[in-house]
Amino acid sequence: MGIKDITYAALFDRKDLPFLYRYAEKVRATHSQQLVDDFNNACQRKVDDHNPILGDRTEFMQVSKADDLVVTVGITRLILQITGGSLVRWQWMAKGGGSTTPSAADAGLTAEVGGASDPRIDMSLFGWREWAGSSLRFLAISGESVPTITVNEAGIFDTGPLAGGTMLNKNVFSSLPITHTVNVTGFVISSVIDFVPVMN
Amino acid sequence: MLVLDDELERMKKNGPQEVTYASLFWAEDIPKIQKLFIEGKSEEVNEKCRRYYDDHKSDLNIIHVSKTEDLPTYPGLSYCMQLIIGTQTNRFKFAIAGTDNSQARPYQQGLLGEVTPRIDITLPGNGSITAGTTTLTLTGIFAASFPTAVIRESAFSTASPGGIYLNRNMFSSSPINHTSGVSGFTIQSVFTFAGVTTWE
Repeated sequence: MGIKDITYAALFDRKDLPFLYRYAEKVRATHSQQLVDDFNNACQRKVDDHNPILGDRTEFMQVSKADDLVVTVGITRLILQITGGSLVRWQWMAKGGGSTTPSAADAGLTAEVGGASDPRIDMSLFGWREWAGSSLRFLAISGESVPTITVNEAGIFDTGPLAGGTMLNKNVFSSLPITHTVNVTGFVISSVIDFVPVMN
Repeated sequence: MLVLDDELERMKKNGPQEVTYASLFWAEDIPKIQKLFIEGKSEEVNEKCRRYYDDHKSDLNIIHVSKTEDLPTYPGLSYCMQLIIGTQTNRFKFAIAGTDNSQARPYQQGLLGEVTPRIDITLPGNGSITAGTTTLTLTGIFAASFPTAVIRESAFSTASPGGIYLNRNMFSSSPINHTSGVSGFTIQSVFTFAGVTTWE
């Protein structure tokens, strides 16, 4: 066994986005792992065909789950961060339309989508970057102005520009990926990377 | 039959894998070892120690090598998460040796029979920190002046004294027997991280 990654892509009505931004802001301010767990547990419940409510009335329209992996270049960077050889942090969440099965040798998304008007999401501003026990937790919120996309793949990077930087993980939502519609929905991508995973 | 507790079993089966070698040298050979480390040839020395353990010949005058496959600790991994996120900056840089032969447990934060002093492996000639593609190798060189001891346990920590322990190892079989003024030794711990995509 080794480092295990689980990633959720969750679709929300755009009217719920202000609540999600405040939710993430609260996590960043308090580092409350209860809030992080609540969000990820709600995603899992939606995947399991329940109808979780976040806060008082925020419903998940759809959640897709990927059980993919931390890639080798990401592990190399993690080790450098532990030794102090790298001070660059994991800050950006990228999305794409590729559906190729992830491989440990991957260094980027298969078909990353974005550009100057649709950049990678800065998780230090629109999400969170947390740790708990032997796990890392990342989340990125994409607003309603993001162009329409079917989110087939996602990955965490250390730089913002499209197709650049070192990738930590790569996930492909092979079953029922979410489809975001500009000005109608927003979506959230949440990753949990566990160095000592609990086996089901 | 030995029954492992749940957390020990979880770390051994699912966590990063760790192997530690304790290698004994004659006192007059320690300056040569230190020089090789200063020249950036630490992995060359470490590889020779590992091969010597496997009964290969070596051009280094190695007296004895002991090996153990024990544990990273949960607090140590938790600290790694903080180094990765960037909320901590102190590195694992102190090599520690001791004489106790209690079994290693993943929550242990200390050697039970520590022999001082600890070795700051970031100082020239004191050891090395090597980041590989998926491996992290920490090596400490204990000079001939280190007190006489049968080295049955070892660890790496962030501070001296105290600090966060990254690992704890116990050499249950054939530990090295260091004599002050006669011999010196190295402790090298190799951590292997790997990404996985499926549950076992």
